[in-house]
Amino acid sequence: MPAPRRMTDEKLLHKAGRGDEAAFLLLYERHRDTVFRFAYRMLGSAALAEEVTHDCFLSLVRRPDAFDPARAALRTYLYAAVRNLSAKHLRRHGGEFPFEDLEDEPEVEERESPLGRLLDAELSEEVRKAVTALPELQREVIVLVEFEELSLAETAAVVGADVGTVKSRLHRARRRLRRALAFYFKSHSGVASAGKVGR
Amino acid sequence: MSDEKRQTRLLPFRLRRAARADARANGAEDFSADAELTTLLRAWDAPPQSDDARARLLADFRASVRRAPLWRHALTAQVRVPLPLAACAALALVSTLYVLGSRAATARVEPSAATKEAAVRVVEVPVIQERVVTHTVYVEKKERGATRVVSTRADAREELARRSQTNEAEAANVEPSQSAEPARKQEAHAGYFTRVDMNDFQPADEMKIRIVSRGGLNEK
Repeated sequence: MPAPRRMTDEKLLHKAGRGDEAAFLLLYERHRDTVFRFAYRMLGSAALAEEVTHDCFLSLVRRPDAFDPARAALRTYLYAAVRNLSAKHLRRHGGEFPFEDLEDEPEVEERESPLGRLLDAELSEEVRKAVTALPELQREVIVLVEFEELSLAETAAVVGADVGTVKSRLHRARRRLRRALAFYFKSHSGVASAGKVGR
Repeated sequence: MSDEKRQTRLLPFRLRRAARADARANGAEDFSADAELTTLLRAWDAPPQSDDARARLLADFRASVRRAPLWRHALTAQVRVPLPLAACAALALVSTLYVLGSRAATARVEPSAATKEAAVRVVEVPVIQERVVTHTVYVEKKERGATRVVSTRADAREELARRSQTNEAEAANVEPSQSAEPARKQEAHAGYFTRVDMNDFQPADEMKIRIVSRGGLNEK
């Protein structure tokens, strides 16, 4: 029998579905960051992202049969699950986020100068606003391709559309983002030199 | 086709062409590469998860596992069986059912055969048939002075007797001398003659059949 760390996702999920706690934790450790990051970027809120991550893993072990390894990898399945849960949250909250969530913004890396930190924080906030302002379908595509580095085919599998549609949404999303962040594009070199953006 | 309709039909193609030209102008034709935008977007980092998220999830997982009783696990348990093995098992099950079914059918037939045999058994019942045969006898008185006629008639009688003897011998395989003799004697004794031919024979209108059961006590 292979060591638990070498076990495939399918086997771990099977064990977790039967109540194996160790298998469940291992599965969680493998995919928690991916799930949380995607949820966070879809919802723009760390608290909501944690909730979605929590629900996503619990639903996975409660209904392990819902995942069919012949159709997609577990990561793709989890992305699709997060997408659905995020859409549910967005519908429930009408696309508005609680104001206090702004406090959960990521802590930027320590910079040498206060100016650099300030610029990084400002840029991060502007990007967050620009991305969360995108329509839901464009947002999920830009997050999956630009942040999660999924291929067009993988993205198409997650969102349940064909590659052509994904390309079209991606193109429109990029155009919007370029327009929204136009200031940073023009002065990007100055920003980068001050805050070391784009590490 | 009117010009307006034509324009409407061509609109999607024109829009698509315009979008392509727009994309080319923005340098976004290559969907996999927009390095500048990607670099800028990466400035938005995701925060780390809170420490209690893992503990909370684990607690909920334990609760969900504990909540499911053992019988539910037993009912929803799944066993993975290789296809050839499953096929063999199914085949064995079907053949067993077939054999059991045929045995049951045989067992069901056996008692019916026994009853059939009993039903067919022949019971002989003695039947006595009684025939009433009516024999009509024509008697003629002897007339005086009619010797000639008598003699003529005697010849005829002899002829008839001979014929009947022949018929009876053929039918009953009896010697003609034995049956013909009493008739002659009777004629000679009474002075009457009896016609024994069956020309005027008529079958009986009534036949009585008596059925006598074995033992004879209940004879009716």
